[in-house]
Amino acid sequence: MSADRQTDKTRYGGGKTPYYLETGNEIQLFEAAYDARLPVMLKGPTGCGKTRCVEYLAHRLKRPLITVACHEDLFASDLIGRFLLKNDETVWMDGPLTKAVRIGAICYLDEIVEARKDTTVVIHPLTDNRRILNIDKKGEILQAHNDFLLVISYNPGYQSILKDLKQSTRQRFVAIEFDYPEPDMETRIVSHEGQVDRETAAKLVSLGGKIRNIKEHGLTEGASTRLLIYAAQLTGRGLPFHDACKAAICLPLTDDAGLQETLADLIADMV
Amino acid sequence: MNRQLKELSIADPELAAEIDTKFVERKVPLASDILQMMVAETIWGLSIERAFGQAIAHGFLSLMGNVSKERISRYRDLIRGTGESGPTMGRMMAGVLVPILIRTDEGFLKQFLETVAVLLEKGSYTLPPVTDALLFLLHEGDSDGAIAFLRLLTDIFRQPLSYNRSRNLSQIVPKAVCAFPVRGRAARIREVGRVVHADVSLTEAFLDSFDNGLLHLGSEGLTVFVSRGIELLSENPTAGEKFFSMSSRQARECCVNLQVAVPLSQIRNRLDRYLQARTGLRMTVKPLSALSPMHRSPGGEHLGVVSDGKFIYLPSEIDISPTRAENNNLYQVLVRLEAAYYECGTFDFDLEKAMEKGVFPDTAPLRKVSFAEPDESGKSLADLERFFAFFKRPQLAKDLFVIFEQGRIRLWLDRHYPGILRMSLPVLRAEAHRMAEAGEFTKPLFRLYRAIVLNEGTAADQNRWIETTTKRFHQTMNPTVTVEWSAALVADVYGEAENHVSEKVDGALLVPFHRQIRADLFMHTYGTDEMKAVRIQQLLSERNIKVYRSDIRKKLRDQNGTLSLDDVQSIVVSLRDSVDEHGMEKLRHIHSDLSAIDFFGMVAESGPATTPSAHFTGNSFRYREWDFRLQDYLQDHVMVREVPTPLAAADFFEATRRKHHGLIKKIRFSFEMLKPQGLTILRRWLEGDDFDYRALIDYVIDRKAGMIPSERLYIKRLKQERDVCVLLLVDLSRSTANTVLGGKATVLDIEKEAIVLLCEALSVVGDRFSIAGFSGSGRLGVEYYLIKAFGEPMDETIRQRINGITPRRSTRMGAAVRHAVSQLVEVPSKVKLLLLLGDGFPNDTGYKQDYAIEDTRRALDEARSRNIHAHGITVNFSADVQLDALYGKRRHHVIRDIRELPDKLFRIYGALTRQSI
Repeated sequence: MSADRQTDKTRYGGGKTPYYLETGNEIQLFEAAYDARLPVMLKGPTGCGKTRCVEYLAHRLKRPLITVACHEDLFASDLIGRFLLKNDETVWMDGPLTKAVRIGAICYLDEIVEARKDTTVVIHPLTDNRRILNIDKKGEILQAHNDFLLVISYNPGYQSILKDLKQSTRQRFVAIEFDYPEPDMETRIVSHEGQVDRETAAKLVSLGGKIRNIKEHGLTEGASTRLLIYAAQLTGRGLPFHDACKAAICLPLTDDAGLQETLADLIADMV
Repeated sequence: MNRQLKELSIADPELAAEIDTKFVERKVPLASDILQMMVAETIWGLSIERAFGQAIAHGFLSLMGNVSKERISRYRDLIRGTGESGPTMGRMMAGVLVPILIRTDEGFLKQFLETVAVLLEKGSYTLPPVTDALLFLLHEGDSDGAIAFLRLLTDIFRQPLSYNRSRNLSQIVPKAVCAFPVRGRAARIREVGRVVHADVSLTEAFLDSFDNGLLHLGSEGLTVFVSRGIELLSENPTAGEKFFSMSSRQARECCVNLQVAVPLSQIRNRLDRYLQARTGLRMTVKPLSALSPMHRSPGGEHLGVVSDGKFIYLPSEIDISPTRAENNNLYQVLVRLEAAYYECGTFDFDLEKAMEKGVFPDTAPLRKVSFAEPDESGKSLADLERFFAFFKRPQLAKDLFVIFEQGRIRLWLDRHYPGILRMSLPVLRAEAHRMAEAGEFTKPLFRLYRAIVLNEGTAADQNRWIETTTKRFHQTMNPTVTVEWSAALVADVYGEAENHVSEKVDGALLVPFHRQIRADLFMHTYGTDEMKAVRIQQLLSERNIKVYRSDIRKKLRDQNGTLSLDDVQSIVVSLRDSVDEHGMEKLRHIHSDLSAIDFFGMVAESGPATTPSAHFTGNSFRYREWDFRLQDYLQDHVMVREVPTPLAAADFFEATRRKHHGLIKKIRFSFEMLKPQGLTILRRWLEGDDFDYRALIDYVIDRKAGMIPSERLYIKRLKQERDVCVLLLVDLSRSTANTVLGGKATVLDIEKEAIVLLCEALSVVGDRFSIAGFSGSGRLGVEYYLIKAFGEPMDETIRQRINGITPRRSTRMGAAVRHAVSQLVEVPSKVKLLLLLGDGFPNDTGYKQDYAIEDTRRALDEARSRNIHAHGITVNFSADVQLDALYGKRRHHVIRDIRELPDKLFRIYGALTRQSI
């Protein structure tokens, strides 16, 4: 994956405000952290609104947002940049992190634990009072733009003990915890995002709550708000409730036949 | 003493005296001719053998007054006949003939005598097991089964059989017949008879097959199965033989296809998962037989449903419908409806709340009652029961409540779970229809039930009362009202109901599947919570703070019997006299007021102290223990002793590997993938850390040559190393000896299998590992069984040790964890993992509940602070929030069905130690 492709999620302050419903004090916290230029860590299960929250806040703070989805093959060079060959010479190309540092954007490293461990060390000097980025290949030390902010997200539900954040990394961030919203809020979110009426949304949320009840039975995580929204979007397009839930919730969640059966039972009760 | 008995007393004075007292006790009028017969026969019997004579006397005694004189004479003749051939035989017959003569007819007797004659041809050794079984069947009142059994025996023993074979058959046939459930026993025996007719040598194998699934077939299914087998036998004897012994695939498939009955064990996991998902409560299902007899509903022993807040009790098998799917469906319906009581808060009924909300009309007879005191008997009654007790006819109030409450739930389900209603109404209606035909139809309460709960039209109903009551129900109820409204409606209509429902003629309301509302059972389960709630309510009321008891109960229930200050604050209703000016002031002080109360002290329970240590030679270690009440450590409080693990032949190890050979292949493959390769360089990448100079040269050459050069110019360096060590700590508490549902293996047996598979995985990936078990009793007697130390190679001794572990005593987990940690810190690995395999919460003398959980959690925290990852796996246990408290929210797994453990343990390990490669 090239660095260019990772930055195509870059968004600048303009455009429509992303929909976001505050469920706690996360907006106040984030704004205070931004004001003090403290790096932020968003913790929470998948699909509970971490990324959306960052998008919303970037818009609110009128800062460009550069998102990098971290993966197992993410090297330091993928973040910082590299030399490319152009005609007969090598040309330096900034990576997404360097770009954000230069222009003063919010750089969002999504699912940071997925990245290779050495890459996390790159961000260390950026996340303390030095706020510098060391581009060793160019011999350049880049002082971060005053508006630059680093945000990372991670999901503590990952159970691999080899894939935990190091203390030295953890202790550089202000953390904001996310969880699935309360049923009322979640209903509003699903209804808005999925463009369905409140009643259908409430049904989906109630189903989601029930699925979260059996997390221990083999689901690594409960049904995320995102999945509920997908299901709502499908029902909004005329798909029967049952089929929409099966396609958007049951099948993506698990391959276990017993669990599928229970999920199907729960859906059948509701329609 | 009677004159005739005096004669007997010359022969056997004790026996005569015994008979005399019995006569006096029973007050049976003495017919002197029968007595004479008895005395004569007894003396005759005594003359042959004393025990024989006594048996005769007892036989006569039982028959007298129960059967006609002719039958008694028949008894005499038969005893005479058999007694001639020897006293042992005579004694046996004197016993077995009594129930036959009392409970069966002449035809049965004839069959019995014929069977005995046939059996005696083989030898008298065949008789005792048969007569025992026959007595058992007659005692169960199953005379159909008994006669079928006799016929079967005649059929079997008429055939030429070797001595060994007939001896064997005389043992296993009675045993198998007694194991059949009463319902359908006769039909099953007849099918065995058909198999015997076809080929007597198949009898044993066929009887064994009942344990392998045939028992779940209905009588029609079994007939089809046997016919198919006989057909096959005539075509190909070997295939037929395999069919009847259920060893062929065809037989098993045929059996599954024919199965109509659904056993609870088959569907239990699904129901449990469903319940947990839907209610979010820690509720599971259990067979009705697990409910203590004093709590069972009359009539609902076989086909009913009750629940007590923790368990939903269901029939152990359902076979009332002709198809498997329908029977399966019935289980689903019963569970869904029962769960609705908990979602709708039926058991949260609060009498005080109901009265204060003014839901009762003024005329209701419940105005002047105080609620705080328990009733006279001292036993605390559920609010619902107390409510019923206010009425002159409590049963009528209860029946009305059942109707209105189930009606309310129907409305609620209609809004929230239309699917459940669609599924259950037809089933309930069909059953109600059946009941109506069986005689319930005319009863007004039953008709009211059908109108309100089953929503069956009342237009055709001529009864005005039912019509108006139904109308009133619909005026009062909607899906949002609480249980108190059902009670209000009861109070409202009770007066009229008394006139329309006759206590004598109509009796109590019978509902489909005995779906009653058992507040008493619920109370039985949560009695301690109720006591706590009463105390807390009183305490708060002294401070003029008002809470409803049902709210406290609910909080306590949700949080496993604990309560915090915040909880109380969230349920405080109001200050008693908050209307005056001081009200606001008081509200402000509510916090300080509440904090003065030691809620925790009120709800906590304490355990006893220590136990002395026994004589022991070997390594022992002292560890501290965390006392959460002191918030301090008790230094050197526990002693852990390293106990050598006994050895046991290790064929089990190989057997497990054979059993799971497919899985082992998979394990080997997936763990090979986890195994690192060291430092690798990946060449010719589109991106990477550095230029690949060989590729660069090619690039230049290609360009010079005018060709399009490749863009793959980079290398990637991947450093891979895996330095993991793991200690598996197995809980060997007593409960691991429990057998696993639907099998003979114990929990520990399966844990051992899982350990074998994990060893397999670990040896592939090359991680250092150690295995240990722990148990013990008392703080000075914690036992630590080292099964495999880190340095030891996986050899025969280790295998024998794994096989040698057996269930022991208690679980003082904290100490065991501390000892395991002391071993782990010695190992120089980078990543250290402590895996705890247990089947519940820690528990030992003076080491219970919160104390145990807090200490164990402390020990795990200590481990984590020493850079050891601790992860818990709990098997054979429902998920519980307390487990989160114990291990940490994301640091444990629950495997409810232990049978899944072998497949899951190594996967969990794999997931825990997975890394990007």
